[in-house]
Amino acid sequence: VQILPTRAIASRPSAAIAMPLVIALVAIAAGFVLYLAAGRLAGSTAGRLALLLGVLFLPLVAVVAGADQAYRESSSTKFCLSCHEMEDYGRSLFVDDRTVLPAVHYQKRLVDRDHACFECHTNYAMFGDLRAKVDGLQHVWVHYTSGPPDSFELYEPYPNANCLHCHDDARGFLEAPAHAGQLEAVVAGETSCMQCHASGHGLDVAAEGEFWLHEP
Amino acid sequence: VNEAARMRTALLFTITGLIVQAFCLYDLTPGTFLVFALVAVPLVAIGLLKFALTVWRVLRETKGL
Repeated sequence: VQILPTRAIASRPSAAIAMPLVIALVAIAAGFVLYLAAGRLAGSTAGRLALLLGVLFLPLVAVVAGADQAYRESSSTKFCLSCHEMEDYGRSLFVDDRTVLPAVHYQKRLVDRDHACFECHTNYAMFGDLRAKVDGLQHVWVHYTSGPPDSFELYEPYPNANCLHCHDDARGFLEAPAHAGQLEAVVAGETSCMQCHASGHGLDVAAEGEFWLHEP
Repeated sequence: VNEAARMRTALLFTITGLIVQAFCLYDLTPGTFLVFALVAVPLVAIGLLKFALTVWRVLRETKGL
């Protein structure tokens, strides 16, 4: 039962992969043809144009399309939870506990379920997404080189800006009695959201196996 | 002949990179994402760079610049 929620996400069909793959295959096929005919093509203007198209533009389009697909897919919940180190964090999305932030956000659809991890773990600043990707690459590199650490920690305290990106002018946030008198300090970053919402992923709760299992 | 040989070398890098990319994109996992970023993209980039250098060299030799 404990592994079930993670599997529910992992079994979802991935985003469309057909187009970038087709472009890459066309570029490969064109590359082979040009490789065989390079000697003849290099001697004429039309041939050089064909080489320009096949060696420069087509591969460039293929790589850009591939990078775009990789970028989008690597932001998916399925992608994040495909690392076994993340299984407990995946289960925490289904914890039956209203104090566990990821569970509340996932179950109430406050975040896009297909991008649940990424929506809270990217910085909403210029190059924030890129930085998240570079950090992710580093995590995979560490996984294959030195192995994962015993415990995971954020690089920096969780920024209020990530919460305020969505909650900033939300009525529930503004009118919550517990937030009264705190809003200015929270917006200024003087008071961390996590000071009160400290449960994080609630891994201890997830370990107890109390889940909301509505997912098919 | 040199020009064609250089083009073929550029193509070899590009094709190899694209083949690696195709395998990575077919089943994108954190592992294949790493291979895509650290192997496929640099291989294609080297191929494109070699091609651009070849074109530039030809244009310079033929005083086309």
